Formats: sequence, C-alpha cells, structure tokens
Amino acid sequence: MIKIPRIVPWTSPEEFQQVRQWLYAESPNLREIGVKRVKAWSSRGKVPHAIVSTAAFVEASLRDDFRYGKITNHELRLLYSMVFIRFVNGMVDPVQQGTFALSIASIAVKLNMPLWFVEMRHAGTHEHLPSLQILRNGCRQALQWLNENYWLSQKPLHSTQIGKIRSLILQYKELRKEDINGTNNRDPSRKVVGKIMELVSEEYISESIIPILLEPGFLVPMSKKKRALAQDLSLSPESKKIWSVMLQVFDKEWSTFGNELILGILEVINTDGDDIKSDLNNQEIQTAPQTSSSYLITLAAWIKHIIYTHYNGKSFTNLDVNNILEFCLRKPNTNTQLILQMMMEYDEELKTSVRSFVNYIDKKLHSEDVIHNIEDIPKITEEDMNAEIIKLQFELDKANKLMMDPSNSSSVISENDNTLSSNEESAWKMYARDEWKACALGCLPDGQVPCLDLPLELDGPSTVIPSNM
Amino acid sequence: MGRRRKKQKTTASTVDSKNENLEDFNANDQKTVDISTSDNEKGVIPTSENRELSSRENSPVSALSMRGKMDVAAFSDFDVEDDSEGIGRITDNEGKLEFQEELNENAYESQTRKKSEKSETLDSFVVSRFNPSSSNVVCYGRKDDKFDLCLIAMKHGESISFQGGVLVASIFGDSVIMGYRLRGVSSESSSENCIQVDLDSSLKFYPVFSPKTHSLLVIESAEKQETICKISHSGIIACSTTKSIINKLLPTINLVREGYDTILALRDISWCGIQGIERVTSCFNNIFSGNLANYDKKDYEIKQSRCDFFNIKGFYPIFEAAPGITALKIPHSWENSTNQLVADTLDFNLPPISIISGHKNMGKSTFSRYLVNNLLNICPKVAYIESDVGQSEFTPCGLVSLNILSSPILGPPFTHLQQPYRSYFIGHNSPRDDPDYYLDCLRELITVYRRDIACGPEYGMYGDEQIRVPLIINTHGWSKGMGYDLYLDIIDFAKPTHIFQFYSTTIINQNLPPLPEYIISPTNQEPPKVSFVETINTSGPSNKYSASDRRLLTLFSYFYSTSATAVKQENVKWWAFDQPLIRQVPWCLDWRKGLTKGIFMLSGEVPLSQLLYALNGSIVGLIGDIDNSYTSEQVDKEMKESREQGSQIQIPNYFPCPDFSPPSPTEYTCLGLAIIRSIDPTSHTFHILTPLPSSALFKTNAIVKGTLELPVWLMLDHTKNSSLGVCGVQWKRAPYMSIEAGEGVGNAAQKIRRNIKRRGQKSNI
Repeated sequence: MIKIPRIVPWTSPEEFQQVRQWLYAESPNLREIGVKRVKAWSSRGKVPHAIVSTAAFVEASLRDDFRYGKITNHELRLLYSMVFIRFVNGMVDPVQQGTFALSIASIAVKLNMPLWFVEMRHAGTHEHLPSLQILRNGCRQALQWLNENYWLSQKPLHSTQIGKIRSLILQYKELRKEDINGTNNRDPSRKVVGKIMELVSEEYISESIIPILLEPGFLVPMSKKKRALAQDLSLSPESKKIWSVMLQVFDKEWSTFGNELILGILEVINTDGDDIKSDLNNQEIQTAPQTSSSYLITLAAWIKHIIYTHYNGKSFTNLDVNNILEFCLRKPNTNTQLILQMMMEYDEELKTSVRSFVNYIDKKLHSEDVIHNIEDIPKITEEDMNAEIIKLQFELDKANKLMMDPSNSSSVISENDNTLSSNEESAWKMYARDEWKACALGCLPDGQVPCLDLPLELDGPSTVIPSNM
Repeated sequence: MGRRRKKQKTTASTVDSKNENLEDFNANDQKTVDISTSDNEKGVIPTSENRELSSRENSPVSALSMRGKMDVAAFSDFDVEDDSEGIGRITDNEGKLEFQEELNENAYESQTRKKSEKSETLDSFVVSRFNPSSSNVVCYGRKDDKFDLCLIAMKHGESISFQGGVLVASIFGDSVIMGYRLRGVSSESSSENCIQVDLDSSLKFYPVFSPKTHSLLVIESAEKQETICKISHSGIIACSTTKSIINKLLPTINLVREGYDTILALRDISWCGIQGIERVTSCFNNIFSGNLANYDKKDYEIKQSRCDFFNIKGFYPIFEAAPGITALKIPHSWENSTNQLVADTLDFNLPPISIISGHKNMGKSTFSRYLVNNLLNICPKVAYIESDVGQSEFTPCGLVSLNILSSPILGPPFTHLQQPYRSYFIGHNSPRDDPDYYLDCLRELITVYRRDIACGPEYGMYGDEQIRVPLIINTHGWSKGMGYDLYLDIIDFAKPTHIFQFYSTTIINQNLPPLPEYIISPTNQEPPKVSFVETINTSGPSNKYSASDRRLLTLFSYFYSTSATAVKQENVKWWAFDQPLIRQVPWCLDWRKGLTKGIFMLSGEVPLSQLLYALNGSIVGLIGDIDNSYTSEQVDKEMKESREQGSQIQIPNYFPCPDFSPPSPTEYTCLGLAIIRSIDPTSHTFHILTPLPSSALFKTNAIVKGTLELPVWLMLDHTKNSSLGVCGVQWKRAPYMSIEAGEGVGNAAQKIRRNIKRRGQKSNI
C-alpha cells in the first residue's frame, strides 16, 4: 500500500525543531531569525496554522518589547488583536466540518483552548478593542498554549527517550524469557510492547528501535553459543520465541517496520562487505570493529527468518521485496548474495531473472580472493560480458516494467536541445549525465539538502530590534 | 423536532422528482429554445417569468450544481480553495424567494446524503447514434504492423461519441467535431463509382482527445456546406503510405448504394503517451481507458466486439450509457450566438473582439472552444486571450496569455497546451492579491493584439488580402465583488464588439448583474452586441473533477511534455510520463551569469537571507526580455556591480514585491514555468526542470516566484511502488515530505471554506 506523504515546508525534522527553538528562545535575535524562517516557509504554502500563529505572536511581542520605530499603544493593540483573531479563527475553522456552523465556544472546549481566548477574539472583532495589558498577557499565554498543544506533541526524539526505549525492550526480553520458562502468560510482555509504541512514532523507527534491536544482546544473543549456525543460517528456537511476539506486533502497527528492519540489518552487514568495483582497485579490506562473524551470521539468519515468514504469508506481509532486491543488486558481496539466494529459493520468478546475475557475482567474488598482482586479474570472457548485459537489461526492464505500450516509437526527450551550444559562456548547462543520480526533489544527487543559509547581514539592519541590543 | 421530520419528507419527494426531471431536462431541448428566442441582443435579464419557471420545478440543475466545496473537502485530498471567487463569503442574503431557499436547503441535504444516487443518473445522449457493421467500418487488417487505421462511413444524423483519443481525417463529405468542420478532401465525381484520395493532395489528421474528466466529444456527420475559401490548419500530415492504404480500403465502401454522406479515416494516437497521466496519481485512473469495466459481465463480449470493429488502440466509442459519463451536447442558444458571430466576422471590416463571461462552472471554457472552432472554419487563425488565471486553456495556471491558434481545439486544456505569443506570470490562482498588476498585464496583451496581430501583414492570407484575426477573451469565473469590477475594467479597455454572457435559469444568484449603461450604449462607438448564453447542464463528469483537479492535470501535462509536442511530430511521444521528474537530469543555471535581472518575489515578505529556503523545490516562472535588445555590455555591467558586494556567496538581485514593482509587462514576457528542483549555493547553481526548449531558456534573465504550489505527486516516483520513500531515501530524510499524520492542534494548513451556513440564516449557495 502506498502511503502518500503530506507536504510540509521544512526540509527535515531537524529544521522544524530548530525553528521551534528559535521561536521560544530567550534571545530576541534568535526569535527574529525564527520569524524570518517562518516567512520563507509561508511562501511555500502548506504551513500548519499553529506555526504561523506562533510566529505572528512572536513578531508582535518583539515589536512590543522594543518599540522600535516608535509605535503607539493603540497600534500595538490593533496588532495584537489581529494576531489573536486570526489565531482563534484558524484553530476553530478546520473543526467546522458540518453543514452548519458550531459555536466557537463549543469548539474551543473541544480543542482544550482557554475560553477567554475566544472572548478576546470576540472583543477584538465586535466590541471595544481590548487593553494592552490583557493583550500582552494573552499573547504570553497563547504562546505557552501553542507550545504545549502543538510543538511538544510532535514526538521529537530526545536522547532520554532512547534510554527509556532500551530499558523497555530489555524489560520485554526478561518477561518473555519468563514466559517461555514459566507460565505462558503473554500479557505483561504485550503491555510493555504497547508502552514502547506510545513513545515512538513510525517515522522514527529506524533511529530509535532498530539500532537498539541490532545491538548485541537483543536480536543477536550475547553468548555466542546461542547464535545462529553458519551452515544453514537457522536461529535458535529460543531467540525466535522471545522476539517474534514483539516483531509481529510492531509489524502490524507500522507497515514500514519489516522493511526498515531488513534494511537496517543489511546496512550493518554491508559495512563489512565491499563493493566488487573497489576491490579491484585497492586490496585493503576494511573491517568494521566489533562485528564478529557470528554476529553477522545471526543477523543474516534473522533476515532469512523474516523472508521466510513473508513468503509463507504468516507475517511481515508488507515486505517490499523489490526494494530489498535493489539494495542487494547495488551492493554485490557475499552477504547480499546469501540473501539473494534465500529469496530465490522462495520466489521462482525471481530465480529466473536473477540467476545469471547471481552467477556473475559468484564468479567475481571468487576471483577476487586470489588477486595478488595485476597478471592474476581474471580476463573477462564473453560470457561475463553477456552476464553484465543481462544485469543491465534487468535493470532496464525493471524500469520499463510499468510502461503501458512498449511501442516502437522512441521518446524524444530534448536530446537535440541539450547538445545545443553550451559553450563556457552560457549560464545554462545540462547536469553531467554520468554524475547525475536520481534523488528526491530538494536534494542534491548525494541525497542531502545543502546549507541554504545566506548571510543574515543581507537583510540589512533589523526592523524590530534596535542595533544597540 | 417536528421541523426535522417535515424536512425528511420533503427530501424524499425532492429526490424522486429530481430523477424524473433530469431525464426531461436532458432529452427535451424546448426550454432552452424558448429562453434564447426571447433574448434580444440588447440584453434581457432573466425576467420574473424565468425566475418563476425555475422555482416551479424542483430544479435538478440547482440541486446538482450546489455540491459546493463541501463534498470535495470530504472526499478529496486536494486543496479545496478555489481562488477564482476571491475574498469573502458569498453573502446572498438579499431577499430571495423563501421557498426557493428551503428547496435548496432540502436538495442540498438530500444531495449530500445521496451522493451516490447522483452519479447513477445516466445521460442518454452519450450513446453513439451509429451501428457499426462490416459495411460502414472498414479496418486495415494487418495486426503485426501496429498501424491502426479504419474508415468509417456515416449518414446524416449519425454520430459517434467516444472516450480516449484518436486521429481523425475527413475523406469525403463534412463532419463536425466540437464545432470544427472537417471537409472531405475528395469529391465524388459522377463518372467514377468510387472515391480516391489524390496522392498529391494534403490530407490532414487532427488529434481528438476525450477523457472522462470532461464531457465526451462527439463526431457528427453534417450536411455539406459550400465554402468560399478553403482554409487549411496545421495538423498531422498523412504520408503517401497512409493515403495509399486509404485508397485501397475505399472501394469496399459502397457509397452510392448505401447513401453514405461522410467518410472519415481514423488512426490511433496512443503513441503520444497521454495515457501515462493516469498513473501519476490514482484519482485520474482510467480517464482515457475505456469504460468497459463498468459493464455487466454477460454483456461484456457484445460490448467488446462492438469496439473491436474499429480496432483502434485507445479509441473507445460509447454504445451504452454508463454512470459518470456524459457527452457534449451543444445547446441551440450556443449555435445561434455562434452563427451570429461568424456572420459578423465575415461582414465586419475589423476582426471582432468577443468576451465570454459568467460565473464559474457554467461552461465558459467549453463555449470558448466551440467558438474558436467555429471561427477557424472561416479564418486561418484566431487569437485568444486567457484571463482566467486559475483555469487556463493553453498554459498552466498562474499565467495570463495571448495565444494564436491555427489548429482546432479538440479536447480538454491539458491535451493542447501550447506556447503563447505573449504571456505574463501572475503567480497565483486568482488575481486578488495584485489586481492592478493583473489589469496592467491584460491591457498590454490587448494592446499587443491590436498592434501586432489584428490585421498584421504576417498573418496575411493567400493573395493580397490582409487576414483578419478575430479575438476571443475568456474571463475568470469570479462574478461578485472585486471580480465583477475587474470584469468591467476588462470590458472597458478591450472594447469588445460581442459580449457573451452566461446565465442560468435555475441558480439566479450566479447570474451577473445587468451591464451598466456606459457599456451597453457607449457614446462614441458602436455598442457591443450582447447575447445571453444558456449554461449547459453541468451534472456529470465536470462535477466529479474540481477546478483544482484540472489544475493538477494541466501541471502534469505541462511538466511531462516533450519537445515533440510543439511541432506535433508523428509517432514520437508528446508526453514522457514514464520518466518521473525526480529522475530527470536537470538544467544547471549559474545565477551569476544567467539571471542578469534577478529574482522577483511576488508575495509574502521573504527576507533575502531566507531566499533559498523559499525557492528550493518550488515552481517558478522564467521571464525574459520582450525584445532581445539587452546587450552584452549591460550584462557585464550588472555582473560587475554584484561582484563588488564582496560577500562570499554572490547573491542574485532580489526584488520583493510590493517594495519593488513586479516585472513590467511592457518589458518582460514570461517564457514558461520551471521547477527549481535543488540548489547548490557553493556553485551558485539552480537545478531546474522545465519542458522549455533551450532556445527559450537562454533568453531567461529573471525568475519570478509566486504562490504556486508544487503538488506532491510531482515529487514522487509513480513508476515504482515503493512504500519506503523516494529514490531510495526514506520519507524521513526526504525534504518537504512527512508521512506522519501530524499531531497537535492547528496542524493543518489553512483551508478556506465558503459554503458554511448558520442555522436560521437565509442564504443560497
């Protein structure tokens, strides 16, 4: 099932938290930066109303604190009132879903908003303009209310929380051990799982839960005796019993859990393995510290178990097999090869399409073991080249899989235009095709959003805070 | 309590009578004829008699048109705000007939409760009046060739309505599609028994697109009309192979014996790639593919085989009414008004200027297409000024433009986007933030028309005669408040010769007020001819797809179009939906060299230090000088100035409005839209995705940012079914996207709703 994300104006959750810190900072300069950033966000659209209101309150209070520009009390009252009115209206309006309008007071109760905000708004709209004292008071309280009801409820990830999660998972493990040995009572362990889920939202699984699970002592038992065997990659039954309950609950709750887990494991496994390409050039094999082979084997065994349950339909039905496949094909080494083989066992279709490629990697892997000098580099035979072609064809076919008509017409995608005079003087150039990698919109090809800050001095002197502050 | 029960009773009866009346309304044209003949050209506002007419019957149109934005908010994920209405609520508290209002209320309640029932009403007009058989449909049989062609022979009165897309050429006799008359290239000579196409003559195929998002188009056989001049328009020219194939098939049609009046050649157009648009987002599924899925299983084979007669990929003629589709039926009032305009065009000295106005969703765009096609029957080119920023005909939203049309418009806007002769970037879906700039741009467009185009020698016809290019101006649907004032201003400086004003007999409050005196009888010039045009029944597909859906379709179509679209190259993809935008290789624009003028920010007050945060991943307009007189010396001078600023990152010149004025319409023209997909500040580069050819790109000297939002669909990879993220990046690390539902109060961005009522409030929608 494809989830469509919603659009937000920030580039990352870190930027979001950063702006929150700015808006609630002590220093007025930082608050001003926060206000400026929210203005940039506003031109993108789709800014949550709570953020717009917070920035408006902060801006009004800055103007009030410093009175820069000699603003009169009356003007300040108008300013504050307007912010208040828009704040309350913006909170209340989305709740008006029915045909007829509900009273604003009733909606405020639903939203847990102090009723006197509504009175203030009413006064500002219809009656005498409220006094400056009460407006200042209201502004302060509104900022606090917004902090509690919006900003803090975004479930950010504090380091303390990770500690809590770890202790909860340990608690779960102990309880499960008791269950297996003693009374088969699953309730306490399920409750603990429930508590874990309350602390973490789906977006943060791969930062919080998965790294903990991959530490030695969790999915991979501490004692080497209990770890998986290399021959058949089978997990000890005890491991399976301990963890399957939690894994299944997580899988049901978060559809991306299975994929995140496997990708997390793959990343750990592959820091040890190397790409074939780099092998031919340098002969150093980098080993990641603290990863003994039994640890890695156990992790691989877990993948095998998960894939097994996926193909049997028992659980982990949301596994995105294509994604895993793509990952393995991009990083061919012993471990991913193992996984490919595992997947091939279960999926016939996969077997036929991937077999030649797997053979190719096999060959490469074995040949690299004996490279000592250049003369020993195996010559690439025609068969190998064919296999390479098959691999490329496979990639091409994957990309074409969903195309409706493989018609004999070719697509003319501005090929002619691109080669038009891009001399050195021209400001327009196509991005070099061999350096280009597909990436999310907003990111550079390396997958990162660059630092988009421009120097603050460009804005000129502040219009809100006098320069002697 | 008691009142409630009473409401429910009335509701039930309303629903029943609603269905009956819908059938009547469709089949029976009489009402429309009566009303139009009571018009005279000086303009008659709907009289009290008409008003009574509407309140007497339980007007189905009002019930169905009153879906408002409520349903869309509840059932669609997209932005609800329809900006063309401008600020403020429609306060229609002026005294309306009381029971009209209660009727509307009831109908509204019943309609929202029984939404499914609406979509089940069937339009009988959508069925093709044509029986395909081996005698009147002849196909080119070679399946391996992938060359679909068939000949259709029709008699007068027959018509084929279809879904999908097809190329049409007229071989013999006349046929009409959407008002455009296709004339046969060959004529029956009395000596021979069969027709042949002259291999030297030019046979043109015209693309016709008919998706479910709009009313389906109908190919009709028409009476032959003698023409004075033979006007040719650009289309896809048939090669000699095609012509010889047609000639081989022609003898199998027994023209004389069967009495056929029209022969058409159809070819498939599925190679153009437009069907790919269905995959970008799931809500446009199957808009081009046939409706076969809706048929009962047991009739499936019969229906299938009827389509198979034609054997053209992507062409699905309709032989049975199905829910959710309607065909375009041109009312008589439209024909009358249009014929009047055509006659005037031939008579007048100067080409006529026509303005089409009315509330939104009345059929203005459809009518304008119909008008253009009719004018193209007598003129080689027609000029079209689009002033509806939210729903443009030939450009994506956010632009006002002057377009020169030289080929018929046979399909919805997103299938025929073209580069305008001149356009300006307004940056929003409505002009309400800067109406003065909007009017300035429109004024300039009209000036350009008068000066360069109206009787320009470069548009000269064959021979010495100067060609006259008539102008059609389409206005926005904002008919109240500021919108109405803008409309009057436009009339004032356009000085049209014909005004077509839409009206509805059923929803009175949507009708424009009578035109003021100074327009109807101006002191120094010919008064314009005002005709009132009835709105077409807007139930059906146009209700299911809102204005924001159409904007999406246009944006998708714009950003995925290839270079072949402009020249209408054959057998080459016109739209490349198979490569999602995030995978496309972008242009790199060095802003030190390329943006000699700078960056304009049309709204909001983004401080310069935050500029890149506003621009990254957003839609912008590219503008350039009108005349390329910007010399290189000036370029060097500007660059030197910026270098002396001494900052580490050289900043482009920045012009936030309203501190600075927006790009002047007399100096700059908008070249097109682009997406800044990423920014590399260290190398001063914008990475840009745009369908514009490089010849246009190199003219760019400034970028303008408005408030056009980039739809999330363009940021995703629709060819892959990845649930984990995009391009291998998890959702969490992808900028501007979040899969979290969002917690906390006030989490949603502001959505504007204008149809909310208070209990006891007398209001109409």
